[in-house]
Amino acid sequence: MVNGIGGGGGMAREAIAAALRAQQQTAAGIAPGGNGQQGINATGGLGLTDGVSGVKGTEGPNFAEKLSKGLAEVNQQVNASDKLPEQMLNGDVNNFHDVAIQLKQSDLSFRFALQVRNKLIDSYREVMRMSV
Amino acid sequence: MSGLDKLFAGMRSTSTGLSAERVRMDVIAENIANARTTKTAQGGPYRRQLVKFEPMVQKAANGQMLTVGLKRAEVVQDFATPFDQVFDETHPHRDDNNMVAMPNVSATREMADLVSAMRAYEANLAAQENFTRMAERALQMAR
Repeated sequence: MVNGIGGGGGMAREAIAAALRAQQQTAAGIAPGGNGQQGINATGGLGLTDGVSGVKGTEGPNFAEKLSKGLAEVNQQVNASDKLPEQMLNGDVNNFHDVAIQLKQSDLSFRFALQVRNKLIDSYREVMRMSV
Repeated sequence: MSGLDKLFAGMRSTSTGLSAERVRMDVIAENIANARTTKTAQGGPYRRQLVKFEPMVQKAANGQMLTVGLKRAEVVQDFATPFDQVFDETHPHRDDNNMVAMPNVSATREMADLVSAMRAYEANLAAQENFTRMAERALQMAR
């Protein structure tokens, strides 16, 4: 009986490992370009090696600049949807979907900015918690 | 094109599609409303209107031409279908032979067009909703 349970556990472990392997394979398949690492490099998204150069401090002002530029864009989106009620009252809005799309766009870009901010605060906290 | 604009490229494409289908529905509504108009400002009966779509093409940074939605929906008149000649001896716009030229609008055809416009509009909406859902799910991953 105990052996039976143990055997089952072993099978479950193997099943989990197999599922993990399958998941990694699918992830590699989804990445454009076919096989894993190459595909991810092709998108230029991860930039694993580039991230290290940030330690030198050369990326500092550049990142802040990019961040403020991105925030300005998000702000622009949110402002555009702030003007919508006024535009609707003036009769400047021709389509219902224009309103809905603008609202959704500003909502999504704001949430995107919020996630970036959350990550930044998190990493700041992590650094502050570090014992010197 | 700025960063956020690029992010919402799909959304803008469907937005132009929605607007175009909306124009199409407006034109069909006009056709149905004027199905029995026998005299217009140009003289003669009302002529059925059609919508012509054109893609919006933009030049990318690498010189490639990209389609980024619909440019505009142009309204043109239907000269291919002839006017209906109907006998009516009491109609104020009848000719010497008591014949009246009725608009070349066929109710059946307009209704079929209306259904297709409606479905196309819904398809664009579905694409829009899926884009939103995709973005939301991707943002959830960051939590």
